[in-house]
Amino acid sequence: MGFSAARGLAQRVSGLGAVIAALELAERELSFRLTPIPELLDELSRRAPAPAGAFFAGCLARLDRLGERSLGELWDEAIEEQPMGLAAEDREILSRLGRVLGRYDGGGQQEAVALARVRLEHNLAAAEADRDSRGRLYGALGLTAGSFFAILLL
Amino acid sequence: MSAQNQMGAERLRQAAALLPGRLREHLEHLPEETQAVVEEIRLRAGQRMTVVTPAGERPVAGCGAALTPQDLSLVLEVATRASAHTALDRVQSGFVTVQGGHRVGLCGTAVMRDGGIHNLRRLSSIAVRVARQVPGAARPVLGQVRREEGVWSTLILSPPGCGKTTLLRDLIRSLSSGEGGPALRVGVADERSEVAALWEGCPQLDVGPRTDVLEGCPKAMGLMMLLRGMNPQVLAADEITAPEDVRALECAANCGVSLLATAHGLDLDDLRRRPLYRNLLELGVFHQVIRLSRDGDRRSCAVLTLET
Repeated sequence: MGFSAARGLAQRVSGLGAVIAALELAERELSFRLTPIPELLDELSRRAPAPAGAFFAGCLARLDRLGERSLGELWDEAIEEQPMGLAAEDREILSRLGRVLGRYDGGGQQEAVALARVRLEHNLAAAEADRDSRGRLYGALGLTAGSFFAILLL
Repeated sequence: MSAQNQMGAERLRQAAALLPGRLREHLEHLPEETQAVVEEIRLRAGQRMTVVTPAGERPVAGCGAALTPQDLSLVLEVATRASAHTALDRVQSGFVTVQGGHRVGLCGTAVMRDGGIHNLRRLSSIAVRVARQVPGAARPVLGQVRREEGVWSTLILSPPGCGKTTLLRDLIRSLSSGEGGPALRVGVADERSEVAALWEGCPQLDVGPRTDVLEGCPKAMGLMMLLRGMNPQVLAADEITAPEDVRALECAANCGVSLLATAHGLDLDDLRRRPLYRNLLELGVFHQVIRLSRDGDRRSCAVLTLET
């Protein structure tokens, strides 16, 4: 259990890092090329580090249902399918971004992506601190519990 | 069902693909002969969906629920492929052209910036104009537009809704594909994407194989760019409305290029009453006028040679 909790903390850090890197790419795309959303999702699905690439691929695959559901709803579905180890508060930031993507001018899009990125960076710093402190504790707990069970079995 | 009706119904289905499923299915249940003649789908927040046919505007049977602003936003999201930032210039002009050449007209609360419309914040109504092309529409007049070496410069004149753009498009297609004479290079200044309706570089409406289309910029600028860059034999533009358009047409005529253009108006007298068109006619750049009129479902046209 301890190891699993420690792994969860590490996954969150890795997921946040990947999403932040993808959002940086998105900001550049929107700033220099005013890339349309389908093309942007395609680009991110190929270039964003794992596990964010799979999340954007999931969004892209859902685009043929645009019209039945809004981009924001499809985006939320993809988050649910591919949570990337993110905590609820991280997913909420990402979800809010999905609700504004594709709705504003180029500048507005960039601002929305940048705002989400900054908030996620803040969460990443907290998640790293959490991993370094609680992760070690969980690891030690896991080791202790494992040793305890081993002794019991002897 | 005739082939033309089938084509008309197919065009409606293509335009209706922009709509959320619950609205689309009501259109799919319309009788096929009605589907074939639907000109517009009208969506207004708080009202039921209606369609415009030659017989007028009427509600769609079975579609009882009032539309919400969210329904309208969803239509725009599909029309812009969830990329309003790439279509903002078109949103600012009040319409977006979508795949198939259909035009989505927009109304709502304007966001003003620097004295101009920057965006529409809350949509109040949408008109999806179903793009229709009528291959062969130009056949009755083609013989009078072509001459031994090229084309007589021709102005197409009619009130709105009589088929000016449809005739212009089919004239372009006919000349470009060599119907009734040699194939000609035609340059089209398609300011509002209504003639060729480019989608990812490809015309969505048939304008022939030797046609070069410049869209999205003011007609006057587009005509001059085409003249300089594409060496056209014929230049075409829809809806001459500004003095700059007239100057560009005059310049092109002086370079020996034949012209095809359209203008809103009842008849020649109506044109002569308005200074812009009086000036255009006095310049003598057009050899003839094709006047279109409509009586119910019936459309007719007359070719009038202008005195020089």
